[in-house]
Amino acid sequence: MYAIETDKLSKSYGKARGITEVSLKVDEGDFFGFIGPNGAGKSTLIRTMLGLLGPTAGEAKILGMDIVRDNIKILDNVGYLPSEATFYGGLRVSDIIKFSAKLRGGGFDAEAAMLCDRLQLDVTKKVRQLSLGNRKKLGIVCAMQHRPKLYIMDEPTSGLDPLIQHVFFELLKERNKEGATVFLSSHNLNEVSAYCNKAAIIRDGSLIVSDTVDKLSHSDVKRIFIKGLHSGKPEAIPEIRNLHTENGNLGFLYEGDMHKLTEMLSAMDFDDFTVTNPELEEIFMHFYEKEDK
Amino acid sequence: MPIFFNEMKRGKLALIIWSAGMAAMMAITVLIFPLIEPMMSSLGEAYMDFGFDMSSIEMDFMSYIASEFAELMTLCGAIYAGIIASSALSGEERGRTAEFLLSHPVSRTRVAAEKMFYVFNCLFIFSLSSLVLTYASVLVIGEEIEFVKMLLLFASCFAIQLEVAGICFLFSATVRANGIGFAIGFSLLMYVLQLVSTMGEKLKFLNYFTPYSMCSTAEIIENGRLDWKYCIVWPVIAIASVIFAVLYYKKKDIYC
Repeated sequence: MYAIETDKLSKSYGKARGITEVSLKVDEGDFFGFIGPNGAGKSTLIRTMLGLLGPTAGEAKILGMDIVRDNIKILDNVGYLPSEATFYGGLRVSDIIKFSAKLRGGGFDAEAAMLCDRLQLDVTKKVRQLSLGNRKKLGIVCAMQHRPKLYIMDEPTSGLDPLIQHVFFELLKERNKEGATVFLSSHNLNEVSAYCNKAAIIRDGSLIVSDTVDKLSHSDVKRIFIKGLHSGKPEAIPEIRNLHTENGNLGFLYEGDMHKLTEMLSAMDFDDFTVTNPELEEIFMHFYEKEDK
Repeated sequence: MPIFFNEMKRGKLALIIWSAGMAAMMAITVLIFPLIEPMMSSLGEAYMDFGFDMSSIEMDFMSYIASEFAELMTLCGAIYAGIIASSALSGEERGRTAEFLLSHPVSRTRVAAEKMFYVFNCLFIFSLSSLVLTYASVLVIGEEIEFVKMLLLFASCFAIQLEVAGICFLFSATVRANGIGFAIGFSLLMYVLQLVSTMGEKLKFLNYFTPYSMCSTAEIIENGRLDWKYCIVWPVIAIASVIFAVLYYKKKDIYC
């Protein structure tokens, strides 16, 4: 059974695009990164999966349950942190945590206290006095106190200081080791490559690629760096992308036949060159530019 | 009922202010009666000039209470009902808390039901506090009052509040915008319509188009009962509004 399984899931807002035919599979126990820039459709996909938005077409299952028919059962097993965690301003942090717990049947006091302690969250403050980071912490406590099977975190670290980010990921790693699935939506590629075992990239509402982070990072794409270029230049061929020159040095991403690359390099005069596996960020850019062309 | 109790916690200050304000106004109205009493006959004419149908009523303490009640309680109560009902659901979206609330395992029907119960509860406390303080003030000045008629005045006013709340609840479920303007505008429009309906026989049909006609002070004071022909249309409209609101809200896309 998949923790998340969408089949050509679409959501449009009238004429505006939301997500288009997204087919995604997330295995149980995965620490899954969902990457895309602002407006790519990350939050729309999540809100559709959670029943906040009704799908226009396609279907999806969360933990084997249909997102339309079994919405309440799904929400009972999911901990969701929205990208903009907003709560009732006049209430205290402790009131919000208790309210959230009561909506889930209650009985999570010890877990909530542990989370507040580790995240250094002052429960006596009123919500309107909280900074963005502290509101995020409150959202994390509400999403984690009931120990769900699936954690859906939408841009979780924005506003959190590095120390609390570390604590937050430690908590997620612990829950993941215990068997829970983590679905982490982010445009921070460093945290995806550092913590996730699998990732998917979304662009303009469509899924571009979904694979293990290792495979994505060690794909056929290579970063070529030429130092001290004296003469010659790479051919304008589709296999070359992200070409840039600076101070007589040249860099580009190459995806294609390596023999063709060596032939091309042998026709050029330079001091040195390196071939490396690109970072996830470069892969991300590569997929984006590829789609553009 | 965590949503209901959460709403009560959030709305208690507004409830206290509205209830205390209304009850105080009604109490003052009663307590100044000994000063007003000598001018009662001219007061009746003044009300008739203003449009109230007091022709069949002998101006005494009960009719004085009824006329003041018609001015203060029905209008203020309807505005309060409109304000809390029109923001019950849309307030969650405007305040961007809907995403937090609806990501918990609660059905939207339950959310709407607990919110509506909150509105009902607020209006009940609002009306009851005014009734209690008004009656206490009557005892203080030592006037005699027909309690059943007074109860009928408050009950019909409570019904008007529920009807306005029902209409505004539909607004709250379907429109994301701030409903306060709609609530005040709707309450005032209906009130003016009821005023106009008392200005002549040919205009009486307007009573069918306003929920305020349910609280016909003349009928209550004179006959001790409601004018039932005006008590059918608006309750039906209000109930239908609430049902449609829930059905719509169940399918509504929540944008945050």
